[in-house]
Amino acid sequence: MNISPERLLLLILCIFLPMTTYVLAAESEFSKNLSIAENSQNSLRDRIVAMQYLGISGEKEALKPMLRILMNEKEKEGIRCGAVRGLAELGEGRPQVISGFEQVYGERGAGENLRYTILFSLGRMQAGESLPFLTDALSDPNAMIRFKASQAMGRIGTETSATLLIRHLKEEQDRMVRAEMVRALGNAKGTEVRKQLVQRLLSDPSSLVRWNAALTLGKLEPLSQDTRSAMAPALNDISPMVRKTVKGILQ
Amino acid sequence: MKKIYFIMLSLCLGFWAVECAALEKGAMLYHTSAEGIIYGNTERLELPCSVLQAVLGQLKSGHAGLYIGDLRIIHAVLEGVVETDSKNFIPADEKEEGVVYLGAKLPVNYDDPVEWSEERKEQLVLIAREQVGKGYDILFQKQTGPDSGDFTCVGFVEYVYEQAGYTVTPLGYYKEGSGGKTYTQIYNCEATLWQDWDGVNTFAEEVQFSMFTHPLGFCCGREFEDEKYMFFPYTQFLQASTVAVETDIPVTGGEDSGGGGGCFIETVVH
Repeated sequence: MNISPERLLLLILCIFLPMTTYVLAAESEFSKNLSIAENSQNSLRDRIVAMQYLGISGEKEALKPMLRILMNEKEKEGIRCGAVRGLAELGEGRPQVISGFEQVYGERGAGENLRYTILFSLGRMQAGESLPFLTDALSDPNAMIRFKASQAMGRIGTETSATLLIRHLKEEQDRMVRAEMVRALGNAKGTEVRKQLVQRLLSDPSSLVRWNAALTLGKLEPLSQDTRSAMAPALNDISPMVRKTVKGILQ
Repeated sequence: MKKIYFIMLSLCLGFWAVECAALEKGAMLYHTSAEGIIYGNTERLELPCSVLQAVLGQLKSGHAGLYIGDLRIIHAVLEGVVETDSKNFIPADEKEEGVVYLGAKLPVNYDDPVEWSEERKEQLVLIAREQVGKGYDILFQKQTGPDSGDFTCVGFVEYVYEQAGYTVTPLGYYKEGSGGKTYTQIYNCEATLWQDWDGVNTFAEEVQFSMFTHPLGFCCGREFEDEKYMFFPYTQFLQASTVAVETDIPVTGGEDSGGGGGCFIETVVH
């Protein structure tokens, strides 16, 4: 097939022109969002939306500006929460991002929702390297901090995170936090995890925790015959929610 | 000495307010947007035409949140899913703009201890707390979760109840006919080059999602069969699956505006 040089040129133009336009448009979109996010004169709404776009863009150039926003104590809590989520989404500069999160978390004046967002985002990033930091958070006097740290450790889902959760589960006084720890254990594997869940199902003083242990065990199916037999006494639990859930699993 | 008595009295009253608040955890709270307007409760189901209005900024959708006990709420606003004092549900600046509290609602069978045991009520709080830290659905593409960036205010409330095994608003997409309202809006602004443009907007009364059309054909809304849909707070507020209950907690006057300005926040058109 013979193609004249003019036609070839036209063909090349047809292919590359839209591509170039697309790339330029994407770059312009990125620059626009970067500029909106960095300018503190812009509205809270515009900046949060821009940071969400920057996070989704996955562009390495967004890392430093977003870290700057995150580390700036003068920024509003909502803006910093937006930066946390954007950085967690970005997928670039993981060591700097995690280090930045931990540093901001430790600020004396860090707001509660900023801390919760950081803990949640560490879980989302499956930041196994933050386990020591999260373990410290499990001893925080604020129950909601312990709750979010447990959730994050569950998302990490390693044997080490499960072991740490089990250790703190035994000492935890708040039933809501224990229930979350039990749910978090559902992401880990191993016989010790199942053993702990069954133990919680049969002996935790809170029906909320026992119910969540049952729900979590239900998600771990197929369960061994030993585990199923061990769960059987829960069919007589005083809580109808626990009885119903266990019955559903054992049937 | 008087000062000490005053402080002690204030502290006692504070404890009394927390201890004696009868509103149950799990209550769904609702308010209008500015000037007492909430989409669905007005005769005309109008959406802003102008791109300069950033499309959803003037939508007047109202807002929904979840009471979790101890004078605290969790709600989805622009900053994400956040836990805060109940008085921040309608911040002082929004109240000045004419935002009106609509009330609190609970499932119709919430006082049945067999259906709603204490642990099931606590499960609502637990699930809500798990969502704290997640982002707002700025493009309204999912609205009801489950991941970060997937929640609007009303979608968050619906999700929490759904996870606890209770459907407040059945999933469905309202386009026309019974079960809702339709309204033909004539758009005329720079988006239509100042020409009349007919769009059909709807309000679902029995299912979650209402179809709407807009001359910008813009980014936002949940797609279903080539149409765009929104889940409006007032749709959930109207459901017969819930009943109104008395609100005896502070829901206004907080300083934390949250920047959300209600549920469907002003979104930049990208």
